[in-house]
Amino acid sequence: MHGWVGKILRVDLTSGKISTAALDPALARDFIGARGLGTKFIYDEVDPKVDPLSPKNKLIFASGPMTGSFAPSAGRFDVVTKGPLTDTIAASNSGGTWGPELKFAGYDLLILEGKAAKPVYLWIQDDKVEIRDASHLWGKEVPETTDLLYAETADDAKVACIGPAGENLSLIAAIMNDRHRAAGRTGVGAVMGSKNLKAVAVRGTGAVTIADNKAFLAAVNRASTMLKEHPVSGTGLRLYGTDVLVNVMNSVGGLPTGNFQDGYFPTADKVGGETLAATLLQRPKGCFSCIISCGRVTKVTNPKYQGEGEGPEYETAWGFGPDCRIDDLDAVTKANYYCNELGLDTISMASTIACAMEMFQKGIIGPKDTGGLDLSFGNAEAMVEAVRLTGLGQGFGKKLQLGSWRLASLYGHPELSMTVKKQEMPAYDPRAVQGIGLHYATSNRGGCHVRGYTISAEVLGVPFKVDKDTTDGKPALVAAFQNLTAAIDSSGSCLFTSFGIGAPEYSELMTALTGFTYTAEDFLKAGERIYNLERMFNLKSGLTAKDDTLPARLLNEPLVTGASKGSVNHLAEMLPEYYGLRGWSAEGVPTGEKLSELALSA
Amino acid sequence: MLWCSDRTEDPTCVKAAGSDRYRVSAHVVWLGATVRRTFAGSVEFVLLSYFALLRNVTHTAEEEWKRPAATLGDLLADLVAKYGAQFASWVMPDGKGAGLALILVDGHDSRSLQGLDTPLGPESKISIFPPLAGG
Repeated sequence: MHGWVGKILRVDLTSGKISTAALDPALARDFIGARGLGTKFIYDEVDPKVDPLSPKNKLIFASGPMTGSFAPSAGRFDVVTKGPLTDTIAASNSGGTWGPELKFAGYDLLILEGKAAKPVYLWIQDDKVEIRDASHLWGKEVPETTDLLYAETADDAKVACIGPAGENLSLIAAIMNDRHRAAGRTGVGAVMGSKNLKAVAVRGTGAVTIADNKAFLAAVNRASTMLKEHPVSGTGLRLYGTDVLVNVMNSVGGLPTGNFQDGYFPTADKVGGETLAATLLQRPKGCFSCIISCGRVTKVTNPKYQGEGEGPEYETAWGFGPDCRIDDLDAVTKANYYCNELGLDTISMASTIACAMEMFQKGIIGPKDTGGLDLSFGNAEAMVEAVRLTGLGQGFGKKLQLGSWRLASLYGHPELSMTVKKQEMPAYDPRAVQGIGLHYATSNRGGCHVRGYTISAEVLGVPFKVDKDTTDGKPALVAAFQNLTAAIDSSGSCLFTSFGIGAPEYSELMTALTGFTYTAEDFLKAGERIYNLERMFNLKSGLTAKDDTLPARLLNEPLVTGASKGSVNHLAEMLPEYYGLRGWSAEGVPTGEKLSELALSA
Repeated sequence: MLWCSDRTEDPTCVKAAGSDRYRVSAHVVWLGATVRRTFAGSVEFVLLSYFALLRNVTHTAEEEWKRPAATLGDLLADLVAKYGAQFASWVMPDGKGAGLALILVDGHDSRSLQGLDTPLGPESKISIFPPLAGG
């Protein structure tokens, strides 16, 4: 095989058995890799009703065919499992260098089963795979764990690990790789913790082979040129990072503020990308083979929040900033550092604190509940401390680590949790942008923006502009974005490449790389196949059309200030048409005809 | 509260209660707003906000624009004349439309309004972003 290595590594942590198997080429062609292939294996091997934190759940690290190739921005991989936060299929995507290293070691997928009797880590050196004791690493934060593993394995090894949050089975725990990159969403870190698996260190000496070198080089050059010449991927993201969106979303009145109580924050610019670039930014940073370099290497010298690390990205700056009514960039960045060091998803962490702040505001909880923490909106010091406590599983952090839906439910107010399918929504208010609301509601892993980033068209006008305030045409737009994204995620390419290239370029790259002929339609069809398979898993796990909804606040409470004042989301106008376009029944179930068309079984 | 500087003999300034400082009289503040409204048809006081790369050429994040400009297109032509080719390449790369730049008039995307023909009000707020994205 080309593009794919053609080999799967399987490790049973209960028995210690390590085995390899060949990857079926037809399966690879149809489900591409990473998110798609990982989902296919979870679908085939895991009971959808399984307790996500039980040994019967499986945890898959999956690369795509482009991962580790010299295609532009081809450093991505997915962690696929059943997510404990959402009880849905979970595929959490990360960059850095870890994914390519797994390919160089000779594996497309690493499937982890069972549960180790004591803390362990995995050390993969090409064909040599060892399960090693990790008792001395348990309890350690991500940077120290990474450094210790460099010393114990190889100084050029790549490390993916959990921090204390994952060990404590926090439902918002991330898996961190390359110190600062995160497979952040859906609580995948807790699944790793439940298996007593602290880390996976990998070092490979192989390479990704290419079916047609000349054609692939031409396709890479073409795609790279398009990305370099595009104003977004060529300059904008490198200079300002994703945080440049703070001012955009605030200006259109769609920056969720105070736990989505409003969509405008007067001092948002203080945590925006322009301010970050002028103050804390040390340099931009890219993942493996990346020509975009949206990553932010930052340093805080303010003694109160001193530190060095990476971030914040837009979602993080929004969550710890305006959503908590905080405009202190030093504090926001420190909260980001804590998340990276302790292994937490920044979006869910921030939104959970914002939810707690609203409960505090409304008198539902008080200092007695929070251990004395004054969780008033705008209290930056308390916000940062809440992150630290959550990461360590201490004090009120024991409740915050459950995520906002379970936290708010504990106190009888689940309506204050800004979640879809129990996962916290990101930084775009669906009342100000209609299509993203439909996407949130139908996203297969709950509240999430990167499974169908319609903001690109609805707000930014990239690659084309549609009216953000209308519901007309949004069902088709959302389905198209969701399908394309599923295919891009599965390829191992970074989603941000889609700002500069499209399905024709991806299919050209895939064809030259793998030797299978992918037309643009084939590529999109594979994405649709993956999306429907994810949907089928969720339905079998017990979810129904009733779960395809938004928090009532977004449907009934108009935005109070800002450019979108007075707006609510009109989900009910879009959802039936979306089901119809997808070939799903009125109950949101893929029809037999649709499954046959996609070569899926019921 | 608008404070007077040292011009304490200016009849438009009055001594602030409980303070040694002088403030602009409420009457004058009211009069200024009235003048602005009255002459809105001929004098524009649009507020311009610039973001990201644009700040490298405007050297300011915000400015008040007092020159007459009936439409967004008129305003952009004035801005291109002031800020030059680099500004034009980000905001109006084809010389006609707004391209991928995001230009908001009172928070609404000009591409969803009347584009360059979007009329400007006397106190419109214009936000101009070069092409950008993220997530």
